[in-house]
Amino acid sequence: MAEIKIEKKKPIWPWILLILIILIGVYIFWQNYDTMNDPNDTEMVTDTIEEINEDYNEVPVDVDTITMEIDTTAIQ
Amino acid sequence: MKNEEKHLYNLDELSDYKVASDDPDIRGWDVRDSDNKVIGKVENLLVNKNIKRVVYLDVHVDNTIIDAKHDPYGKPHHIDIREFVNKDGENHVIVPIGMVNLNKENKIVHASGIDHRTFAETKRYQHGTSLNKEYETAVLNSYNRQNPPGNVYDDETFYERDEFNRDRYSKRRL
Repeated sequence: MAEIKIEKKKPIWPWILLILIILIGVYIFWQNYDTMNDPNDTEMVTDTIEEINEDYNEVPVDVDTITMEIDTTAIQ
Repeated sequence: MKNEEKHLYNLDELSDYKVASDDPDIRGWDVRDSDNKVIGKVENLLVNKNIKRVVYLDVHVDNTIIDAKHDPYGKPHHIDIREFVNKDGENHVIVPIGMVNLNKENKIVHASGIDHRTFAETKRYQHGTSLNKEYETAVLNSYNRQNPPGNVYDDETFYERDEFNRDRYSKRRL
């Protein structure tokens, strides 16, 4: 049967409004998240200790027996 | 062709209306006559806003219809039908929605009750012209030559005629 009905087009503006509200909400959330970090704080920098490749010679030292002599030849 | 009070609108003119989602938008479809010959293309849909449905197809007829000039001075079958000459530039004709079948698969409109000669001899109009009730009545008289309805335009019931309802029109022709 050839019958063609017509209907009113659904308005698009509610969808545009919804998208705008979502975008505004995301923007406000992002702004609040960003202000939680104080730009004046120094950041803690973690550093890694690199492997020491130099030869390490351990010399035992007896603190009680250490004597210090003053070289007086240079003074005279 | 001036219209006293506009009651038919091209769907293109109604920016807040569209074809219902369950129904096909047949603008651009070929129109074929009772012999399955292409006689033109659906250019627009004429809508009655009060009943919210398409009542006519606005068909841009092709040259085979325009070139098949009928003899206006010949012995008329029906005097009201032959009292006009289609002028140059008048290349549109309306077809009541109930007088066609829709082939959705091939996007074809079949005016199975109207032959090529009837299309050629029906009063045409120029695109953009407003249609009046006299023109609608003349077209219906032309399409129903065996039993022309005459001057039967009635605001209340005109679009309830069989020509605007496929089911009833097809039963009438059987």
